[in-house]
Amino acid sequence: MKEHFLVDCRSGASGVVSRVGADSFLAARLQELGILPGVWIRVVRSGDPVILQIGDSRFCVRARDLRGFSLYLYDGDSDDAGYSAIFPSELSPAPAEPALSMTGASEPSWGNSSNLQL
Amino acid sequence: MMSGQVSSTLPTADAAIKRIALVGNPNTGKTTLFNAITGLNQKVANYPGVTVERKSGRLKLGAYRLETIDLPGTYSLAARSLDESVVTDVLFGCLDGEPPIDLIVAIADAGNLTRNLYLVSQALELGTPVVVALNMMDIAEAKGVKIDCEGLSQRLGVPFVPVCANRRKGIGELLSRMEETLEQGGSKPRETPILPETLRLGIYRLKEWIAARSPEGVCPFRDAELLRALVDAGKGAEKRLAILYGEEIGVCLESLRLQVGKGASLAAIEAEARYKWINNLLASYIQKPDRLVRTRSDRIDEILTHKLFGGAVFVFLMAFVFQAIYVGAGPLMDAIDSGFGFLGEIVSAFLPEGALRSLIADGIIAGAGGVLVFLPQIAILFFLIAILEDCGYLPRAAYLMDKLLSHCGLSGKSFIPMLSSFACAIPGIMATRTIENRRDRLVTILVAPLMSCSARLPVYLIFIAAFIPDERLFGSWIGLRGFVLLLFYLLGVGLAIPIAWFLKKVLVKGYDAPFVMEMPSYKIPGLRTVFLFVFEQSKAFVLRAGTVILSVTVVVWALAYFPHSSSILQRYDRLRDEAAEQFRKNSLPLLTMLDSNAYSSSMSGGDIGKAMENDPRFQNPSPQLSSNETLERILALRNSYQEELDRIGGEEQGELVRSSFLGRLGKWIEPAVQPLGWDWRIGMAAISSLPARELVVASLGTIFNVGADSDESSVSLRQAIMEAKRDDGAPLFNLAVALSIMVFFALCCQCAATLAVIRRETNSWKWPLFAFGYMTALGYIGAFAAYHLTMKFYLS
Repeated sequence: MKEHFLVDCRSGASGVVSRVGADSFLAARLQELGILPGVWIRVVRSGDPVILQIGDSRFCVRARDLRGFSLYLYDGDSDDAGYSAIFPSELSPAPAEPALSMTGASEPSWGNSSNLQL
Repeated sequence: MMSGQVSSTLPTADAAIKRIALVGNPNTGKTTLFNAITGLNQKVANYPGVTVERKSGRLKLGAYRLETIDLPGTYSLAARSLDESVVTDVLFGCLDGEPPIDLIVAIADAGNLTRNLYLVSQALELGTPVVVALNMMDIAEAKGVKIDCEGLSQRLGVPFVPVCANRRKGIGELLSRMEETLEQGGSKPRETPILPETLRLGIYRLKEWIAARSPEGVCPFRDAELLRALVDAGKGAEKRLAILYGEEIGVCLESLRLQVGKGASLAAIEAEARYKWINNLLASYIQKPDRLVRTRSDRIDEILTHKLFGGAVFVFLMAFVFQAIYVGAGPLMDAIDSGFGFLGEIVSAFLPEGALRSLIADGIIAGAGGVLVFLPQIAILFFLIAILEDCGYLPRAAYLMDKLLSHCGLSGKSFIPMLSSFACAIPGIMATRTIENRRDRLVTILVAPLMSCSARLPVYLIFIAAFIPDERLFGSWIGLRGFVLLLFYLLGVGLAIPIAWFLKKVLVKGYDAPFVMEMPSYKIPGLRTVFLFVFEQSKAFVLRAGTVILSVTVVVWALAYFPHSSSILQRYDRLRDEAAEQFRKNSLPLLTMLDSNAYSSSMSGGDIGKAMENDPRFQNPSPQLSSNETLERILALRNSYQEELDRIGGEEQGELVRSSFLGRLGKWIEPAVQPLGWDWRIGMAAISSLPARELVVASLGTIFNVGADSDESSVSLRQAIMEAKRDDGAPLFNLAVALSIMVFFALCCQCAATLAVIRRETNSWKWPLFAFGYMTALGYIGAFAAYHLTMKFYLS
C-alpha cells in the first residue's frame, strides 16, 4: 500500500486515512465528522471541491482544506474499488492495522497516542 | 421565561412548563420532527442579541406544558459558527434570556448512526436528561442496517426511539418516552464516553484552578463545559471563563493544553476517543451489511455531480426556477395589483374627497398592495427551494457552483440567493439563511440587490421603447432593444463579482470558516415540510417587511400630497367651469334642436354631459349615430370637452405634485442631479420611487401630467417623455439622459422592502444603510459615466 495525498487521488479511489492535516481548525472539524487515521474513506469526486465518502455520509470539502491529509490507497480497480473494499474499522475496534503501525515513526503529533489506537 | 420567583405568583400550571431542546446533525430531519411534534403552533424569533433564528413551539404532554426549541443543526458542541455556538450556549444554559433546558431530544439519522452519535455522546455528558430519536429508520432498514434500540436504551439508560418524522411514525412513542423521562426527573445516563486520561487530567487541573479562586472553594461548572474550554482554544467556553476569572485563565488553559496534550491537538484526541467509544458501543447493537451497497442515491449522484451532465441538469433546473418565478407569479401579481386597485376605487367611492381619502386609497392601500404584490414570487421561490432542499439537491448545486463563486470569495451556497434575486431581492436575501458562514452570508446579502430584479424591468422597458431604435444586429438575428435589455441584466452581475470580492477582502474581515458541506442522500420531499416552510417564510415577509414598506410609502405619499394648496384647486375648478360653459354654449343650440324636452337652456355643461351619458341616442354603437349628422357633431363636441377635462385634471395633478414638499425637494436637489443630465423633475421622480423603484414610472406620469395610472406600456407617457422640454426649450430627454436614468435604477437600492429585509436578516440598521449608501453611490457614478460617455461619443 502506498501513501497518497488525498487531494491527488482520482475519483473513485478509496483507502484508509493515514494522516490528518496540520490546519488544526479544519482538521478538528473533519475529525469530528469521522475522518480519522485508520478510517476507510472514498473519493467520490476529485478536483476542487472534493466529494468524500466516510461510511454512509458524503461531504464536500475544498481541496485547500484537505492539505496534509493522506491515504493508503486500496489497490483495486478504479470505480468499483470503493464498494468492494471492506475496511470496517469504523464499525469494530479492529486490532491495530498494519497501516497505522507503519506510520508510527513518521507521524510527529501522534507519537504518544497509546490511548488513541483504534 | 419562567424563573423560580415569577412562577410562585402565577398559577401552578405555569410552573410545569418544561423546556425541550431539539438537537441533531444537519440533514437529519430535525425540522421535520419539530413540525411533527408542534404542528402549526410555532413561534419564530431571534435569540437575544444574535441573528440566529429561534424556532419554538408549544404543546401539552400529559401533565406538562412543553416549550420545544428547534436548535440549529450542528455536528459537535465544539462550536465553530454563530449558529453552533447558540446550540452550545442554550444547552449549557448560559445564553441570556434562555433558562436551562429540562430535556434534550437528540435526533440522529439511523443510516449514519456512527457520525450522529458523536453529538449524542457530547449531549450525554451534560447531565440533562436525554431522549434519542433515531430518524429515517425506514431508509436505514432498506439499506440493510439493523439497530437494536432496546439494547442501546438498556445499555445507556437513555431511551432510543425509532421514528420516521416525515411519515409521522413513532412520534407518539417518542412523546410518551419524553413524558416518562420528565417524570423520572434528572436521571443520569448509565454510561458516558470514557475520556482518555489526558483530557480527564486537564479537566481535573482546571477544576482545581477554578475552585481555588471561587469563594466556596468549589468549581461551579460541569465537566462538559470545562472540557469545551480546554479543547476549543479561544472559543465561547473559554471566553465565558475569561469574563469571570480574567486573562489569567487563558494562560492557565494554554499551559494545560501543552501539558496534557504533549503537542497533540486536544480536539483530535477528543474525536478519536469518542469514535472509539461509539464504535465499541455500536459493535454490539448494530448490524450492517459488511459491504457498502451502491445505493440509488449514489447512482443519482454519479449523474448530478458529473462535470458535464450535472452541469446540464443544473442549468436546466435553474432556468426552470427562474421561469417559474418570472412567469408563474405574473397572473397572481396582476390579480393582486388589480385587486388592490379595485379596493382603492371602492374606498374612493365611499369617502369624501380630501386628505383622508387620498391617504387611505393612495397611501395605505396602494402601499399594502405594493408589499403584497411580491408575495406570489416569494411563495413560488420558497416552494421550489424547499423542494430542492428537502430532496437533497441544493448541496449538489452548491458543489457545482463552488469553483466559480470561490473566485470572488464566496462559496457555492451563495448561488441560489443570487439567482433568486433576479426575480426579487427579498426572497433572495431570505434564502441566504442556508449559508452558515456569517461573512459569506453578509456579503451575499449585500450584493444580492445588484441583480436585476423584476421591478427594474418597467424602467428599462419604457426608456428602451422611447430611445433605442428598433433595429436588428448581426444580420437580423438579435434585436437591438433586446440586446440593450440583456446588457442591463449583465451590468448588475458584472459589478457584483468585484464588489463581493472587495467586501470579503476589506469590509467583512474575519476568520474564514472552512467550507465543509454534507451531501445527504436524496429523498422524496415531504409536502408538509415544504408547505410549512413556504407558509412560515411568507408570513414572516408580510408581517415584518410589510410594516416598514407601508410606513415608508405613507411618508412619501404625504410628501407628494401636502400642502395641497387650495388656491391651485380653486384655479383649476375655475378652468373646469369655463370648459363646461364653453361646451354648453356650443352644444345647446344643437341639442334643443334635437330634443327640447330632454335638454333645456337652464342646464349647465356638466348636466348636459351627464344627460347625454344616459341618452340611448348617443350610445356607441347606435343605429342613429352614423346616419344623423347633428348627433355626430354633438358627440364630437362632448368628446373634445371630455379631453379638455382630462387635460385640466392632469395639469392640476402635475401642479399639485410640483408644489408639494416632494416637488420642492426635487428643486432643492437639482444641483446634485444636474451632472447626471437630469433636471429637478427626474430627481423628484427618483426620490418618490424610494419605496420601490418601479414607482418611478407612475411618478413620471404624474409629473408630466398624463395622470398617475401610467405604466410602461402607456403610449401617452412615452410621448410625454419624448416631448418634455427643459426651461430653455431643449428636449429634456435624449439617449444620454435615458441611459443615465436606466443605469441609476439598475444599480441603486431604491427598494424599501429590500432594505427592510436586510435589516431583519442582519438584525442591525448598519447593513441596510450601507447597502443603500454603496448602491446609491454606484448608481450615481454609473449614471454620471453613462451620461457623459454617451454625450461625448454619440451625441457630440
